[in-house]
Amino acid sequence: MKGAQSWFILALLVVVVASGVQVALKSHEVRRLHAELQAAQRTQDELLAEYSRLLLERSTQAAFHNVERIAETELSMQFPDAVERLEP
Amino acid sequence: MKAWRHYLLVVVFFGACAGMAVRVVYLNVRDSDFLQGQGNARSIRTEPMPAFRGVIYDRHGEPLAVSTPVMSIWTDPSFVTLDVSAVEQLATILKLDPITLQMELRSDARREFYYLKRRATWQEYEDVRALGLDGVYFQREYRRYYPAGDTTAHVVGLTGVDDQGLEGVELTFNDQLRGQYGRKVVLKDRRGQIIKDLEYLEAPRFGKDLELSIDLRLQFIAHRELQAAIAARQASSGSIVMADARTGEILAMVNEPSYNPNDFSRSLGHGVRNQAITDTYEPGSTIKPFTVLAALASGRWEAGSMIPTAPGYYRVGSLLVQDPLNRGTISLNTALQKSSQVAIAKVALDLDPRAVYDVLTRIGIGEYMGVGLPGEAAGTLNDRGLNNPVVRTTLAYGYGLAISPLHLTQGYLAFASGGLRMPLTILKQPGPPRAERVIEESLAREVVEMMESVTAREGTAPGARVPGYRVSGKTGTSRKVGAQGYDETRHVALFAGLAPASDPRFVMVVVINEPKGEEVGGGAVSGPVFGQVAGRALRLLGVRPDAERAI
Amino acid sequence: MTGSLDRTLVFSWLMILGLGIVMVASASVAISSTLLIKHGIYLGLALGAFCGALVTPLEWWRQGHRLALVASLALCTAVLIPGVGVEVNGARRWIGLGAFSVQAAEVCKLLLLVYLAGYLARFHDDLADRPVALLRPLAMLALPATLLLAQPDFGTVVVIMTVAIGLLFVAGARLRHFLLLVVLGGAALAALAVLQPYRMQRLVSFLNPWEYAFSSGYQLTQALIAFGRGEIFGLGLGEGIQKLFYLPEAHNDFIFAVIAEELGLVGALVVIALFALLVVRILRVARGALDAGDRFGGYLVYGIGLLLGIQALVNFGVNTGVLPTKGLTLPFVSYGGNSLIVCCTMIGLVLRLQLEHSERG
Repeated sequence: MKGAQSWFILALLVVVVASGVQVALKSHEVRRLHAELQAAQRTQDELLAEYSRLLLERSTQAAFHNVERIAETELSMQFPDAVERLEP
Repeated sequence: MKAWRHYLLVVVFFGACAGMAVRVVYLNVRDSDFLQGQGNARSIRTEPMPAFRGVIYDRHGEPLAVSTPVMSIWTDPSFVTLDVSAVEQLATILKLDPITLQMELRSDARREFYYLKRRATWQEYEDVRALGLDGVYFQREYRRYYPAGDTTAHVVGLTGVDDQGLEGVELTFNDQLRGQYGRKVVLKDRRGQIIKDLEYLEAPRFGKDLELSIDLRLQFIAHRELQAAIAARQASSGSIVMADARTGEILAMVNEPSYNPNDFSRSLGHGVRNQAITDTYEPGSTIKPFTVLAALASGRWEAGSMIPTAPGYYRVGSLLVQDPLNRGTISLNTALQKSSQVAIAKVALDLDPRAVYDVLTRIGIGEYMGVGLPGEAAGTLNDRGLNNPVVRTTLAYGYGLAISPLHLTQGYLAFASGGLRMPLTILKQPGPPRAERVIEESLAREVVEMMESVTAREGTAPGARVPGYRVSGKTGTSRKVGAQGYDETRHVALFAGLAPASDPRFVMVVVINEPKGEEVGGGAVSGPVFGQVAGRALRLLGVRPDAERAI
Repeated sequence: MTGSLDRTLVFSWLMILGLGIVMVASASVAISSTLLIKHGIYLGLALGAFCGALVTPLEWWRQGHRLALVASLALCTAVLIPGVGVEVNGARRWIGLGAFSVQAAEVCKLLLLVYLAGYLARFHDDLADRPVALLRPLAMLALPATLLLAQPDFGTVVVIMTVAIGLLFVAGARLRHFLLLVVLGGAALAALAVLQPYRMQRLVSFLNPWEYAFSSGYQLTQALIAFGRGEIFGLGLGEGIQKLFYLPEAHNDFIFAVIAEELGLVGALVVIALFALLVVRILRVARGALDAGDRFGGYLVYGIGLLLGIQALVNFGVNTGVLPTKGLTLPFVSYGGNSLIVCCTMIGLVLRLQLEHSERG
């Protein structure tokens, strides 16, 4: 067996194996990240849904009727007459 | 050893290896399609990609239409039998009758799909999920909510079961609002994780949000006052349209009767029509300011020009023009203030035959306006018969043409903006409008000032006044056309105006259809509605009072 | 020293080993990222054992061949004792030694080969003349075989018995005696299969895996799908789908299916070819030793060649659905464990034999 040549082939083999392992690991990494992306998209979807619900709730709470009713009944507020108004 | 034993061994071994190789060729090549089919059946799935319809906002970002996911809750009676306590818990949460539910589940025991509740609220869904019952499933759907309900129903419209717009801006801007689920083919591992997107069958389409020019607060106020007036006058219907005097944006548009777009059980039909744009009326005296404008523009008339109206009637051909009483000789301004038919008829006949018609067409009355809502009526206004003095006379005081409240709004917008014509829009405008001068500014201001006298104590609509502000406007009362010509008992009460007169912020048209009772005129019926709404609107918009301090 | 070694043998071995590392990396990464590291540790141990075998004179093994039988019996007994042997999935195959564990059957394979080689070297001259000489080693093997069956480990017994019969053939047994043995062996196999019903079950599911695709045939159908997905050039390294929890033991017994899926028909044929090359070169070394008169070394290396070849063939057969499912690894390729260490030790023995002869020559 010719020594130098054999060692060279051996070194090549090691490099090939190392890069092969990296290829395998990286392609799995791609899949893992893809799954992460999917999860993030699901979260986004859920947050959008949550946002739409909160939007509705706020709009119900802050409805003009509601604010006016609370102002007049609970806070005893009233519109001033024209005479009472102060001109700046 | 004997060589043949060695070689026999090697040959047998090679033979076995070759056999394996052949087997692999069979599997990888010949059976490949079948095996891949089996594999794909286990690992390839079609996944929905959610996307929903855009939100409709008012001009201040208040939501008017929102799509939100709801959960339909179902069970499979053929597969699971829910025990009594589970059914009771479900019934409590979903507000169903436990005994009926129990019976239905038992009697439908062979069905594979039973809706416990369609489109349950999110809270109901979370409560049911918290029970952790086996055999209760959830199915996601979208439901469109209209938080302002009947107040904005005509403007916003509604969508059908397939999430397509049926009415209002939901219909006209459907293409923009529409959201559509996408579908993709994915590769999943055995645990259900998506490893790879293989193919996009349909890209998801996210609906774009829409910002309307509507101010929800003004919409609420207008709707409430309109409802109150219609109830008080036992009127059949009514509309209010309010537009920004500077931009042409529609701030409020309400009609009665209306409907609740959130109510699925409602049968479509009643109250769906957006009368403010679909129905046309003879506008009556609300047209008179345009006649006055034509008179001023002719240079032959001034606000103070005196017109004899005695004896209170005036014959034009076959037409007898009448005032309710003999007003004697009055100024043009007073003619407008008191809405004198005789004076206006005399002015109109003095003008060029096309003068009034030209003013009306120049400011856009009787045209299709393209405001962005479905069902817009073009109205009828034509120049046939203008040579006939009778036609000219009736046109001058608002008969012989049919226009919608929207047209009237457009017309008064020209006064309020100081003589500009700009498109009325239902969408919030990003920049200044495309305005076109159609009236000389000084003339527009002059007519506005003259119209201010209408809301004075001696005018036809003192009820339209707002304390602390100067309000200009004009009343109108027209008779409806029945089977035998004009119907003396059915009226349309109109008031069109703007405020504050010194620097108008908005124009508003109030139309009340077929009021009952003693008073049926625009000044008495619609004027006060204008005053109420305008008063609240001016304060909400933070407009400084421009009137002399009220005493 | 390296000049005398068979370069083809060494490189075909190293290529199989290297392919093993890459494929274990690919097949195990979804399950656990530590498996690859463990595989590396086992590989280190295996290369250590390889070097140990390379520097140990074969004479040492020859003298200890009777002891090897005793040791294998001891191992097979120990593994059955509760507390010593660890039970996994209903089978006692492992002896736990702290972080490390010993798979009795794997070690026994080597020990029994040493014993057989020693026996055949001693009684070489009797084999052709006295049929009893044929039966004696088989009788001796029956003891550890029975213990292995008790684990139960049917696959290892089949492999060892096949190797033993093959060795007797090489050693010059008469053809009619030999054929009789083959028939007897076949009958014993059949009897075992029928006596133990769960084997029958496996047998049936292997003949028609799609009918039992969601029960006993599950693993096989998933392996076959892997082959089908691979087509000619495969899905690409790391792109396999079956390893994602569809195919159990993807990094172990069923790694050949993963190779076929990711590297395609081409990859699978290369693996088969590499094994064929390796085994033939090993047998060539063994024949050289026998021709030179070294009976122990010759029979031992023949046994090694046969064992590696048969185990690879059985593994291919199981993966492709031609043989019933057995817990047999693909030498050098499957994930770590005792198999890797023992197989590398065997290569060490092969090269040691070659070394001893080239020194003498």
